[in-house]
Amino acid sequence: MRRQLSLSLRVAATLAVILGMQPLVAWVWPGYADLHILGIPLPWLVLGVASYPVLIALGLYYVRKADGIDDEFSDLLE
Amino acid sequence: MTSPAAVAGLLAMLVATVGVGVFARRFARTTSDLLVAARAVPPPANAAAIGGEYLSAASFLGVAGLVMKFGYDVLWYPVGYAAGYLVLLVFIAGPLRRFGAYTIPDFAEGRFNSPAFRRLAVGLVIVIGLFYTLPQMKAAGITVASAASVPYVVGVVVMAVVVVTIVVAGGMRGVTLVQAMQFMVKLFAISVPVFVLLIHFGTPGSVFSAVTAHQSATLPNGTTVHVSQGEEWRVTRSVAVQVDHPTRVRLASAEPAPQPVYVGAPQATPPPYRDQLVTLDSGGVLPAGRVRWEQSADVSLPAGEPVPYGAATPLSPTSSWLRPFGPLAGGSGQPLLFTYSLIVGILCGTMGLPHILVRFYTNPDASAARRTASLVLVLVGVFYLWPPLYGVIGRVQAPQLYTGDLTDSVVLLLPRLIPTPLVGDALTAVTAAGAFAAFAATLSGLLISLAGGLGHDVYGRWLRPAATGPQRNRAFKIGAVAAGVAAALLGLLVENFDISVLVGWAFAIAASSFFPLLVLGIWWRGLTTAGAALGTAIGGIAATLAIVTTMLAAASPSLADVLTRNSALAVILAQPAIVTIPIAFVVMVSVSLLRPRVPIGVAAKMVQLHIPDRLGLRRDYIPD
Repeated sequence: MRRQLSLSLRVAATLAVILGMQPLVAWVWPGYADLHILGIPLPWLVLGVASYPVLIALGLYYVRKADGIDDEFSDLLE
Repeated sequence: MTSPAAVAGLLAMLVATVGVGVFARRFARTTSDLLVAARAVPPPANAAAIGGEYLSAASFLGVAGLVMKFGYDVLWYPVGYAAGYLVLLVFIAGPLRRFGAYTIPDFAEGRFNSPAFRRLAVGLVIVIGLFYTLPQMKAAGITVASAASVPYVVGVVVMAVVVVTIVVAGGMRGVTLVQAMQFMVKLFAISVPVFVLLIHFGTPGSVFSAVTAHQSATLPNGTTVHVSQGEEWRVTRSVAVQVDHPTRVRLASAEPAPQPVYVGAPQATPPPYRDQLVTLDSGGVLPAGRVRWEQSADVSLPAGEPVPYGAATPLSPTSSWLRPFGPLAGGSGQPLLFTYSLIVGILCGTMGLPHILVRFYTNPDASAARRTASLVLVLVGVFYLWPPLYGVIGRVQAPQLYTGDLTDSVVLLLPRLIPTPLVGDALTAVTAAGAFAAFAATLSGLLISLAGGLGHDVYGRWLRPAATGPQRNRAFKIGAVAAGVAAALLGLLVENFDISVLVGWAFAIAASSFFPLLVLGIWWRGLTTAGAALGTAIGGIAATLAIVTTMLAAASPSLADVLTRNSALAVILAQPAIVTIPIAFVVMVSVSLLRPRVPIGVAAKMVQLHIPDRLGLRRDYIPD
């Protein structure tokens, strides 16, 4: 349970940092909003497009690790 | 204007929903059959079904509409809806499946052995559920209204009747096939039209350059809009209009155009008009300032001019619309506080919505529950790529929606602008069908939760504990009708609120009450019944009061005045999560530490929540 909780907290903290950084970057560095890729403002791409693969990757990483911890624990007892 | 294609799309989706529902029910006749059979549902199908229920009208219509209205800041909504699922996955999906509780009241009662706590949880489910039905009703209203040219009221009532009938007839519930189909319809209906729109109106890059080309939203073609008597406009630059018949208007050109006082709420106290009553015979120039239409009319706006804004739509100069802290967060006066509170509320609120957890019970074990949640994340992630594009294209192609405060309908309107006739009609039908799937799926899920709370708990446990099975069944149906009527009545009040803002409020209340309950209840054995109940109640009530105050400010000039002067207070009342979530946690922890009477049998409960399924310690907890 402790290992599961620390895994959950690690993933949640990563999420918090990735999302939480963005308003801060935009706040301290207004030039962030002037960058463009293929004519699309960078902040739109980062938040509106790049977020989803990151979320999905975090989710898949968590599922693999959580299953691994469960299996190890079960192996230990059996 | 009536759109036969949109009406056809709505009807087709209605027939498909009922048809597939009837077909699927041959295989799963009763609830218990369904629960047993559902154990065999593989995670991908289950994930599609959960996605089908989760993607509500807020996702399908609201996000696009809000992006069009406010720009960049709104991207936090779809990202938050998706990220909320990640939070649900990492903190509660696995343990809650092992525990076997499939509603939050079940969890509250099962984890703390307290029927009183169950009552509290049911009460909160009803509050959150009603809040969450409001935006669905609004979506229903505008979808029908824009498809068939009927008043908003008619749309709300018709759709409430349709969905309540479906629920009472038992047509949609829990049928994996129906919900999975609805997910596919929604994904198809949001993504395919975008590609066709991009073919017609240019690549995303060129759409963004078209946005940048004008500092104010500008009409690409001359357009006629309908104004009703009493409607107000804010004209940013004087504009020559034509009217279909002589029309009286009141002008207040000398006064500055005021912004709507408050994010998400319509203008409370416009300064009084200095009367300047003008009659437009066939047309005339509206000077910059405010305009009030004293008669209904069809008004033609010229191409190439900035559009006037409706009274409930804040001015959105392109430079601020495109950037972080634009009209939404920036308009609040406390951009950072607003943004963070919005993010926290949505991230933490997802797991507390009344209709979300039920389906996790249909997974065979915790590992499958986790896999299902991660697949839901993939599906909703793919879905949320598209709605913001409608908002951006809408700003360029359909800025007249700003004039009528109609940005929430942008997804429904854009396909009609495609010049190729058949393609435009087909896609209009497709987005109307998608909108129907969106509010019907979520609304029926919510009505089931509400009717379950009213019928099962309020009637079956408190009013008539001795009620028989058929009586309970009837109570459930009466509960569904009552919830539907309440939803429709409340739905009539919210025409001027943004769908996504209303949804954000439901999330904030859930985040402030059930999120701390679930997280601490699952991960901290020291949580006492008193601590959990007090924290849930105080967090939930504080968030509800804050939001109700915000809604009242729309109707009360003096309250609106106070809020305009104290922007930090206004932000905290409108987006309370960043304050109320910590309050709930602090109450739970401190009460539990001060009177450490943990519930009897907590060790067994923790084992049940956390020991891997392979070791075979799981006992399903099904009340009654």
